[in-house]
Amino acid sequence: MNIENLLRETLADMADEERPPAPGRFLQVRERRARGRGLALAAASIVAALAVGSTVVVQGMSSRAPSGDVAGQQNAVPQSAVTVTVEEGTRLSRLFEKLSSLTGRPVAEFEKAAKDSAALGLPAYARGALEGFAFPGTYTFAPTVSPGEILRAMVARFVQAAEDTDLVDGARRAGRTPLEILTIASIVQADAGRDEDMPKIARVIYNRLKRKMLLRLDSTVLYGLGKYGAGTVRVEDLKNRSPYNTYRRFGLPPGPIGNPGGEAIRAALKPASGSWLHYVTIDPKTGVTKFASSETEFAQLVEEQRGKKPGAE
Amino acid sequence: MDPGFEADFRQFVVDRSGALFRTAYLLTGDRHAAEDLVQSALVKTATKWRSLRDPAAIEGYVRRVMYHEQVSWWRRRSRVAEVSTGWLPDQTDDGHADVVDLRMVMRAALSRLTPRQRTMLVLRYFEDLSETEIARVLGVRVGSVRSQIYRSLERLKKTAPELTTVRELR
Repeated sequence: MNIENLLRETLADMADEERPPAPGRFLQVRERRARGRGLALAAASIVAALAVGSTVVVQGMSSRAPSGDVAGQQNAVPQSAVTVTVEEGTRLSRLFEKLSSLTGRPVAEFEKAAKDSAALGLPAYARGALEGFAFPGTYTFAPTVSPGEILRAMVARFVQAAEDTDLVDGARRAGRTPLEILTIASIVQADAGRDEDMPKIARVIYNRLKRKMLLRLDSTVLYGLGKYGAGTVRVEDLKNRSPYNTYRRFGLPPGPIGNPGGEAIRAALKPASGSWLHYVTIDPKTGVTKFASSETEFAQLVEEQRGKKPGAE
Repeated sequence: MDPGFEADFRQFVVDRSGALFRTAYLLTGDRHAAEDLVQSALVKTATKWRSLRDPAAIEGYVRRVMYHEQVSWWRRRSRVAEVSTGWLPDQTDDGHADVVDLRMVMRAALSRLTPRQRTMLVLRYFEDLSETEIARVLGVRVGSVRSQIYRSLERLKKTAPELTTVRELR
């Protein structure tokens, strides 16, 4: 180890241990502090500044500077930055393929980096597995970024989101582990066509768990099989021995089936009130999902779904 | 006010303020100064929001403002305030501090660099920018980045001679 590596490790340590303030800190009006550097500016002044800025015709940002200090510097933003958008619900397998094609590095490098849970900064309750902890969003990296650093950034954003949603305490109040909540959130994310359905889907999962019913969720079966496509589950798939086959195994699958966003996590922590035990995605195109509290209602919904989907079974 | 802007701005802050704060913390070495640095860079970015549609451009812009503010704010100061860490590493019998201690020594040594030197080291060894990119972001020549980084590393070794024992460890 040389001094450069020691410097790298020291900086990484320092960055990790200083917990960032909640984002709201930068969005709220603050008292002006006497200490330190200049003004503590706030949302109000941001809006004011924008009003001024908007009267000026601004050309491409790369040639414009924010203040006298940087005036005239061209193209200061690295042009070849790698931008990745992780969509809500993305599975790691797909994420790695995407990252591989964006960075030109083999998928195996991402798989390897995903195993180093300490370097990734995974919380202990992740039990060393990254699925569920690569938080959705848009990320920008320097072109020289390593696979580990990319995944680490996604975990860092998860940690922030966990804090914002109060995941650990919320889970405790719900009598669940944080990993269980995240597993529920990942199912909610996979199955909800629209955000407003999320708390109801979460409720269905809780109601079924409470009644010790099989969850019978296609999304988890598909995950176990490494397949995609709602409505494509076949009868033999339901006999599969994967731990994700919730048609055979009681309770939640062993871990998340994708990487849920904040809305889904919130829904898993705060499900809607209701007695529903089933949900059916009536129309996958519009994401319309309907809920049923009894077998009879459920059967009607299934009929309705088949009506919209000629050729199914 | 444009409601789309407010929502986008909010989202950007929610998504990115954590990462921006960490970098700001490394640049300043002080939590409050780091918060102020991020805040002030966000305000400046807000005025350019419309021209920065691409999220990559927005983040690049905020960061660039942060680096510049950090370097120039200090440049205007007459004297560099030294941060006393009140911490001295234990030496083992053979004179080698262990790796954890070395990181503490490194921290103390970092706090004695000038902000410009420190900024370059953070860009090079935390943000992993190349010397060329650092030159571009800070608006200086590549040669100057190279020599500053070299000198900073030398200065680290000089302020903390323990760091030169690093080579023999592991």
